[in-house]
Amino acid sequence: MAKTGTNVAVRPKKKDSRQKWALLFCLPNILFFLVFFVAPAVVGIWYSFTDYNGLKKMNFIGLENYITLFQDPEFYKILLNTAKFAIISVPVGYVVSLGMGLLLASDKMKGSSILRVLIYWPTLLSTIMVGLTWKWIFGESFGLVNYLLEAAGLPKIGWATDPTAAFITTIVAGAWAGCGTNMLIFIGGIKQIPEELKEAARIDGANPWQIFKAITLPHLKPLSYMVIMLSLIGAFKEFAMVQTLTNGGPGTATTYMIQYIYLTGFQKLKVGYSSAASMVLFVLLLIMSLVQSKLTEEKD
Amino acid sequence: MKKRWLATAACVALAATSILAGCNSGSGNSNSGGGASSGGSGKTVELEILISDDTLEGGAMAAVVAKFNEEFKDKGIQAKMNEIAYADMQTQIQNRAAVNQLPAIVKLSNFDNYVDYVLPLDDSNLKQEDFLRDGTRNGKFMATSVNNTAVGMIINKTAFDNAGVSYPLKEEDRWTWEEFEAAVKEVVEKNDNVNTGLVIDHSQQRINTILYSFGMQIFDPADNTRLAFRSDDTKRGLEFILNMYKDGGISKASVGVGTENAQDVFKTGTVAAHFAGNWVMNDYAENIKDFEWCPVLMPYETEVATCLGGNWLYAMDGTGVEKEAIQFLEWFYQPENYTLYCSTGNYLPGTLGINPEYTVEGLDIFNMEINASITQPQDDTAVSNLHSGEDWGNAVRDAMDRAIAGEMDADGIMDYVIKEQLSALSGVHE
Repeated sequence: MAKTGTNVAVRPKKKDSRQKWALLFCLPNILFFLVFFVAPAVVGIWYSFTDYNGLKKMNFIGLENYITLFQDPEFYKILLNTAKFAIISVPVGYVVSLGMGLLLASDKMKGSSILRVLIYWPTLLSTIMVGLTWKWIFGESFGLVNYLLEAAGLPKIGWATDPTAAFITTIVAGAWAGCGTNMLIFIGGIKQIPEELKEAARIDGANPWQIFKAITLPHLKPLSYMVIMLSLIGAFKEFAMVQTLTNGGPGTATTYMIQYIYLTGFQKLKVGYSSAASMVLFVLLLIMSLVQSKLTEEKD
Repeated sequence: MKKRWLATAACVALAATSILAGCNSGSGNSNSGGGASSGGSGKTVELEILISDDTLEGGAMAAVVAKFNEEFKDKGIQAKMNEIAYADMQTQIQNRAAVNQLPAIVKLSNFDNYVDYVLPLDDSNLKQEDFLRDGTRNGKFMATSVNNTAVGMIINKTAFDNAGVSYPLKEEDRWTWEEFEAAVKEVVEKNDNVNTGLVIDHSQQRINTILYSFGMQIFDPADNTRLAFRSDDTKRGLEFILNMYKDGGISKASVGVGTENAQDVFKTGTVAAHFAGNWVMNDYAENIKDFEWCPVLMPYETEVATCLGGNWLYAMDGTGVEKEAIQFLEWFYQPENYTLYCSTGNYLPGTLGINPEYTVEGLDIFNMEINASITQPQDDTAVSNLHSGEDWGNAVRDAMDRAIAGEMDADGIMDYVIKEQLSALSGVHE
């Protein structure tokens, strides 16, 4: 991160002309943001106050969608599902990616370049492919895991029919798909930790666990905040992977927010209602983003 | 070391992005039929036909489109099929309606959701009275019933014969559900490779067919504004279905909740019976090689019932090629062309006076089902048609999913369905 606030010599006038240039360079991005993010968001806010079904003319119905939404027990159930998914998948993803980061940042590790590429590779896959791949592995009648269990003489697991088992499949697939990026971030962070500190600790007789606890982890604190907050936001937005892996089932056991929005908007044709749900999700994500930037600021 | 790693990562990312971008532009092209638009010369009009499952059902539309294009190559109209997944049809039509890029012609099991965008056919030479199902909404003839479908039971004949269990091909031999349950249990017991008695498609229509045989009604026949789904008959039917999915039941919950596809599972030969419809027969005739199968009469409880369904073929309004689309439809229903369509796809025709030559055997069982069925399913469809554009979706199926997952019981299903119906349909009460 660039150091800011140290160069006081710049005069306000000069700064202005530089800002113009900066703005020009940012323009493509700003335009993109306006067209593809701000405009749909504004349209979404408008939809959420109407009874639009995606096809017919819409009528303004005020806050009715929001009132129905907040009275709908299903909405709370889905919200709880999503929170549960986030609360479990984020620490799992964090531990896995930190562990891999530690392993692959170590000089003793052989073939770490190849391993890094292999572990990063799932991130490049489309999330749909991730879902399908794990669906083959966790297929109930013809999946790989159940085949192996059966071959070992163990009972099959109802990946598709047992709500807990289905929930676990989404956690595993989510962690597998997401750990590559976070691992890279951690490797970068670990490499930045001054070697002298660890060496001094070693001379003082610290074992690897103590070094990790007293030196590595505190140094990775800012990165950890970032990774956790970004993963949390990502978990709340999980969709394509779950859609292909479990289709939200069995029942509504793995239906998370975005899928709920998709189902009500596109399957039940309640676009207004699903827009209202999106707005609620938007507020939740906004709060998380604010917390994240607040935490990052404090670190700076 | 770090730099090298970063460079490698960047290269891999770039390569992957370009591959993905390549795929994207490829698939983009196939979707950008963009409604029907004039061809390059400005003379040939291209008609886009949005369709799903044609290849799976034997490529009947593809055969007819090839014939059309041959006959019309000098007349300035060429048809082009855009085949997409069935599950994406609704989303695609909805999105394309929003940007005014509708296809010229659509074949789909539903048109009520888009009825405002459908082109009325009153000015064409096609007449509603020639079609078996009613495609009239608000007094206008909107959609043609291109093929009829009937729900029915298909069994693994090899497994039944091995077990020495008989199956009904004549009305007087028809099973009750209890007898059926005993029959498939015996088949499973006596065949080592068969482990499931019955699989049912993840479909509301299939569930409803079972419920109708238990005496379920959706609308009260005496007062069509009264929702009649909640009843003791419905409850018995729902409980019967739910019991199938419990431990020791005859069916498979993974298929019941839709995670696994009944048709695929049946094809593995590990299932005694598939509660499906006549449209799977083409696929089975082509792809099942290691065992024999055949359609049989469905079980009943208090009533004999099948759900008549099917697909609609209709033109869209505001595409700029409405005249040509009507021309296509008129040509399509000429006996010679329509017979080709029904024969190739082994479809039950949606009009009278057509005699297709079927390549698969056993379709007459479905005609027997249609003739033997009570009229309640048809009556309920007629009342639903009065509520055109007010869709209560797949409430029965969605609730059944939740019940199989243990989230609700039979009473919960009835509550859920009634609630969905009340919120979607206007002027109804329980």
